[in-house]
Amino acid sequence: MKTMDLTKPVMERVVRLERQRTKRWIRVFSATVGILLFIVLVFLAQAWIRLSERHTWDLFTLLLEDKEIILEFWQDTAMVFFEELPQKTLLTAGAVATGIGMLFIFTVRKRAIIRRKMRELAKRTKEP
Amino acid sequence: MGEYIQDEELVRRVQEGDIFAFEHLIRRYQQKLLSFVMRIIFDGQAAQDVVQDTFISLYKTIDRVDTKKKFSSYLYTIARNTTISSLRAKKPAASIDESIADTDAGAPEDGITSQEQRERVRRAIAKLEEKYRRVVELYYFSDLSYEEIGKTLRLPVNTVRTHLARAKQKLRDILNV
Repeated sequence: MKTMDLTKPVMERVVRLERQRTKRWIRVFSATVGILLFIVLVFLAQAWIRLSERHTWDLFTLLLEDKEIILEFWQDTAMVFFEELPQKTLLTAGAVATGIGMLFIFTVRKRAIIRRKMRELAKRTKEP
Repeated sequence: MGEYIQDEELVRRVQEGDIFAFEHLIRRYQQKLLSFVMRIIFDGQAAQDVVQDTFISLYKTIDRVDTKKKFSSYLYTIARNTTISSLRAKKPAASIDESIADTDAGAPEDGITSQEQRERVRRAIAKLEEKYRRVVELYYFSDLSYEEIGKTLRLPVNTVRTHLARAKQKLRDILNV
């Protein structure tokens, strides 16, 4: 039987397969992070709008007052500010943001592997 | 250069994203796998296709390979499954005598020097029942241990041992030695 070296044909298939897999992983990861970030931004925007509607931001005009007045009223002002915060909305935004953080933590190894694979694939492309 | 890297280390490197460590595994195992597959499907071109598919299947599942266990057993199991799938897709085209005439021989012929005697042993092995023939081929031609053959053929180790003993007895009977 005439045997041939299978290294080249197999590695060509491996490289093709790996390109597809790496691209798919990056797409899925980016889409997941993008969607979660969008959710966080939506909730933060909602909170911002709510605070603007209630004129909560006006509480910060206290900072323009004299030092004595700031020292006398900062605690009351801070309490009012926190009471007026839309807590559920901000908690949800915080939870989703934590989710993004967890996603990055859990995929540390996988992302390192993907980066390495991308480097290897780039090297392969440069080779004649 | 020249430094031997263990299979398990190469697998670990591939798992860590070093795609081209896989080349070493291909170079190391392609001939062994070709011999292994050839003894089942008796068709050189089909065997090469099966070996390619075996390596691709291995690559697809390499993240699941336990580097604490012997890698070759896992590889031969994939090769066997891929070969069976290939056989289901099409029937073998060549006879066993035609196929083994081209293959490189291994240990059972140790001590036999002449080509004629070598050929006699090959033909005797070909006459064995399939269950015995496969054990003989894996033990002598693919250099697998009893445990590895057991895993590859899904047989208990004692059955492998018994099959091998009976196969040797049958070979003695066939060869009149």
